[in-house]
Amino acid sequence: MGSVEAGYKRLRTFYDGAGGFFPLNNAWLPLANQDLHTDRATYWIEAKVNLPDRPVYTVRYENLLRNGTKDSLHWGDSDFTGLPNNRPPISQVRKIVPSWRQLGERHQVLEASIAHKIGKTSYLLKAEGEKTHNLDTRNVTRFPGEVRPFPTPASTLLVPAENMNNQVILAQTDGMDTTSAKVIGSTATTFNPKFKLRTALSYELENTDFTGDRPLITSTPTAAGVVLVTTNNYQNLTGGSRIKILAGNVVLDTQPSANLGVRLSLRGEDKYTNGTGTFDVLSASGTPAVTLATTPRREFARVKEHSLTPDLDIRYTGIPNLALYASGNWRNLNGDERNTSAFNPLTATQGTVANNTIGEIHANYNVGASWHRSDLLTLRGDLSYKDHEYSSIAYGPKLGERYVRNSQTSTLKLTATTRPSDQWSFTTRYIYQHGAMQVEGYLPDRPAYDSMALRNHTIDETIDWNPTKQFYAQLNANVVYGYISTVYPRAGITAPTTPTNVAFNTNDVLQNSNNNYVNGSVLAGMVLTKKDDVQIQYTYYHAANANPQVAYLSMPYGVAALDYAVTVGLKHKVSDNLVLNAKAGYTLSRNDTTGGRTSYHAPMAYVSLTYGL
Amino acid sequence: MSLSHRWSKRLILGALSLWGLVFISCVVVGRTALAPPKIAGATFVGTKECIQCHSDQTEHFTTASHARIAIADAKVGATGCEACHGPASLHVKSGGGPNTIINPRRSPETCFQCHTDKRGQFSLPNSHPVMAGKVSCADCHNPHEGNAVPGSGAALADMSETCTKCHTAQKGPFVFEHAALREGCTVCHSPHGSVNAKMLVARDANLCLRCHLQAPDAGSSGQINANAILRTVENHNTRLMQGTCWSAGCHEAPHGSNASYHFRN
Repeated sequence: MGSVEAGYKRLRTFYDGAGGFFPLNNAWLPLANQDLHTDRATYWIEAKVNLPDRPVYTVRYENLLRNGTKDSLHWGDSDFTGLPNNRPPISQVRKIVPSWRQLGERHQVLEASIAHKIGKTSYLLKAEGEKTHNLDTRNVTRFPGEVRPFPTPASTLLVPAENMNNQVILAQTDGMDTTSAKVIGSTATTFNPKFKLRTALSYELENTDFTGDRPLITSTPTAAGVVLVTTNNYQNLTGGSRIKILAGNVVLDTQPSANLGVRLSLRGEDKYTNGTGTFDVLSASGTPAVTLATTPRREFARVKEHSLTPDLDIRYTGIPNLALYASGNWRNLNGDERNTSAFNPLTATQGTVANNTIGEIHANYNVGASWHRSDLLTLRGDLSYKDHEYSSIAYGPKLGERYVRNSQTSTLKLTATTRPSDQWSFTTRYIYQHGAMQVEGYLPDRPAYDSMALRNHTIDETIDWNPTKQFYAQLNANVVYGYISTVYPRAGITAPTTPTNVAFNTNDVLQNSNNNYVNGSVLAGMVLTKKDDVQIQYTYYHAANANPQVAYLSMPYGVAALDYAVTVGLKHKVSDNLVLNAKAGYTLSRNDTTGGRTSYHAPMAYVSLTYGL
Repeated sequence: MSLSHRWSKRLILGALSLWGLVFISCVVVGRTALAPPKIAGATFVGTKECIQCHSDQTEHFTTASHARIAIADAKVGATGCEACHGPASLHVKSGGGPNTIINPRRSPETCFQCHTDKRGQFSLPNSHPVMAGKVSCADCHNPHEGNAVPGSGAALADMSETCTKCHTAQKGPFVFEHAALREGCTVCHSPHGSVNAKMLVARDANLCLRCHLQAPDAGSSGQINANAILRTVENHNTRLMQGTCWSAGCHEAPHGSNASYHFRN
């Protein structure tokens, strides 16, 4: 006949609001308010009418909320690093001051659909309306506790950290109100068991109105003392963006033989985006910079793009106990973008103009096999390869400029599951990923350059042990070795000394980004009484990617952490519908990336009740 | 008493206690422990039974990524619905009674049976709270129809829709769009988990330099390129020493900007 479903979910996430730790002088600047948390909530209701031989009507409303405060990685600057200010180009500044965001976000989705089957064809007509209201503020302090002397000393003079720069407090507020409407129609026709055709078409209109304000309060030294000067990067920002998307696809499923399945698909999309905005820049000038001036700004951007994506998928199961598959798709996009950077409409008709043709060629291939030898052994292998190209070629005032990026990524996954007995099960998985990227940029004497290398090895093991009906144990272990490398660590060049610049090793400006870690868990559970189960768990995580030695020329971001937790959980069946869960334990977290400032160890406990209707 | 001696005593005491609990449990209680994701006392019935009530879920399963590993002459239960939902005999017998079938939305253990690497990623400090039961694998992946990775191939939906349903502030549209988002959010974020804050695939400027080896202002101070490294002046070397590209005062709007052509704010 039908159904009604409703639900509510809410969770609170806490954030430590940590900034960066600078190891040379153990610099650490905490937030004044460290009680950061964000509440995420969603509630939904869905009603469905499903009468025999009649269309199925569905209406669903969902409301998602995100409110609170959370940390941000837009860290501010500090000169309190123990480094001198007169050794250019080596900077004494490090971006280690924590920042945080105030969130107020609401997203509503209303969907209504009619589904019906007439003959061999199923029809679906769906309408979606979405409404988003966001008002977020990011709070950042740059150079806290610093102000330059008046008059400003020569840049070659060594000055104390508190006199190297001027404190800036900024609060950037961005508002966004979006409404969108989307209509989707689709059909699925089963001509016979070996021939199925699916089609779909959608049209979406999205309108966004945005607002913004980015005031900066700068501590400015004057002959009369320090004054606070308020400037603004985009005062009274208002504008809007529009998107129109027409998309459709056709999918043909065929089965030429009993064990061969072939699927041919084609997707097409036509997308138009434009955005305009105006704002005022409030800037300070003069010596000292306390004379304020407001200048208007105007901006414009427009992108048109069309893409076609054919897709081929083949599956073969003609060999006993073996499934083979292969697929490939090729996305081909052509487009045109025109924009101008923000300009003063009182003195100019445009800013920096870009007229570019844009293109994308995305090729994705995948082959794999699954061999189910018996219940004792299952082997699976999967190899995928991506070759993506993006290009932006200027045809307007910047004729001759081009940006072409090519990337190739290969991923191999091997999985083995063995069950030597009813009591034991082993699952082993190895994943290898290899990636490379080349960028052909704007500099004529540097055509194509290898801009990225990526390697990743992942080995996982899960062992299940069920020696008796009343007891089970599970061991999980994951070992990951991975890095991303760009041109810096591979340059191998030491800079020459000039009269005004000291020499330094450019390789120390930026090291490889290492993402190595080991984690795992041991879980044991058993029946305690007719109504009670007990579960003991130990979890472990260790990462050692830090390299504080590079701090003189860089900001060491590598993660160095050790976490473990031991918990004992009790599950008690109060009644057929009511289950009580209780867990207690001890947890330790040691974080050397933050110099131990966010390390903790503590007992923990929680209780939950689950009631099944 | 030395530290190691004390720990040895504790370990022996703990092992004895555990053995005692197991012994008592085996002697006193005949009930089976529910090791996730298993169903005590249930047997496989085959997918045909599932279709009786769940045709809306099974109708297009042949198009699903997971159907690719299905074997033609598999024994009942080895593949199909029960491979993920567990043996369904009790569920069928009770007419769909509660707690008689595994719902992977409530526990990721079903998915972790094969995707062991995802268990490791979701257990990292920076991850979506799947292990805490607040987010489910099915919130982002549809195991019953089409590509498990949404928006890939010739799917109608856009790849980024999965992320922007919750992360609306990053969705835009912005006046100045960052072309990196054309590759999807996962080009910079590892959605299952990362050792890095905000689930970034790289915590430092390598994240941006992968694509921005060269910047469009030849000869100006905007260069980040091999040429700049050679000469070390008039380039971003000094700025890169200070922190990431998206630090305050630099390019603070990596998802797109409504005011700055260079994503400054």
